[in-house]
Amino acid sequence: MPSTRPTKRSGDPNVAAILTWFLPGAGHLYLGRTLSGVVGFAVVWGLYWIGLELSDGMGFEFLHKELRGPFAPALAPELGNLSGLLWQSSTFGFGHGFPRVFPETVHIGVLCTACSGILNIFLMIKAHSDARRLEEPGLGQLPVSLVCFISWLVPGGGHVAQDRRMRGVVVFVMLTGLLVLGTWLCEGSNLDRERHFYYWGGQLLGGLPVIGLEQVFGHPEVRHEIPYADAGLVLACLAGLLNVLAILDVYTWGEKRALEGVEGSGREETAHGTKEASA
Amino acid sequence: MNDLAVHLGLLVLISIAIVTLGAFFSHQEDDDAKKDIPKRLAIFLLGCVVVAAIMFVIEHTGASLD
Repeated sequence: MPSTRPTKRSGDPNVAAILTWFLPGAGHLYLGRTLSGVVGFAVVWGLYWIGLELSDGMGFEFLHKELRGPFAPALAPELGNLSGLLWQSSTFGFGHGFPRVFPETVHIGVLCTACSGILNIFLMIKAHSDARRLEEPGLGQLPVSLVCFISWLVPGGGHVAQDRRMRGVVVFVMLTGLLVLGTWLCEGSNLDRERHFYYWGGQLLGGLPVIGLEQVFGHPEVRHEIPYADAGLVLACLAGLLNVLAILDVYTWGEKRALEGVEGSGREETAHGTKEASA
Repeated sequence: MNDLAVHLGLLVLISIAIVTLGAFFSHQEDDDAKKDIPKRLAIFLLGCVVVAAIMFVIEHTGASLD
């Protein structure tokens, strides 16, 4: 009986993920999934391009002069989209050597470029999972990459999507609580990339709550000493970093369930993806 | 407000978050993770006390400016 499963070409999952890191969508093109590749490229690179336009490419000029070096932007969230980061570094770098006024839309612009980097990480996860054919319909769960993305957007959201509500609620309360407490201690001054270039990147891993708080309370003028600003900054940044652990937990759970689904569907996983088990 | 008490309170809060997420990451089942949290928290806080003690000693000996 002929197979009813998709005939899309499988490839090495690691190659697919690395290609996606180099150029969004390239991993899917390598896997023969042209539409996914084109859409992935358009979304991720489109967001980066919008960010560059809004910020006039001045995002890395937030870095203090003593911190500027060839690898300084490599700790920024933009690293997730390597081609975007390299394009920005080579085209705009740290400015033209003379002071310029930041455009009014610079903060929303750098948010777009940073989110583009983070989005591409989930596209890498998708390419890796697609190569292993872990995201096909019929495996009885939401795609792993989608659940990881939800987990970034809303801490604990991925757990809830996986029907692990108690764990999801605990993660949400803890991480969002830490973020809110940190922001309160800092009086909102933590949510400003110009002031805290690297800490801001760490906080952004907390997803929508961080983005929302920044739009409401971020970028305040600081005219007095804030007693617990340092402690608040650490708390808020740690909330974002701990969300990475939550995302990894979601990924591990989803991968395990997907592999169980693969075994149940009569396929087997190999070093180069999955294949139909021989009769 | 007592500065030391505030910092200790924040340390305990952040420790609970770190330990809970660590336990969740290590155990797929919620019951196993919950059971493991008190022990992990005790070890984490004990480790913090040891590090603080070492820093305190070094601050007053090898790294002292006096």
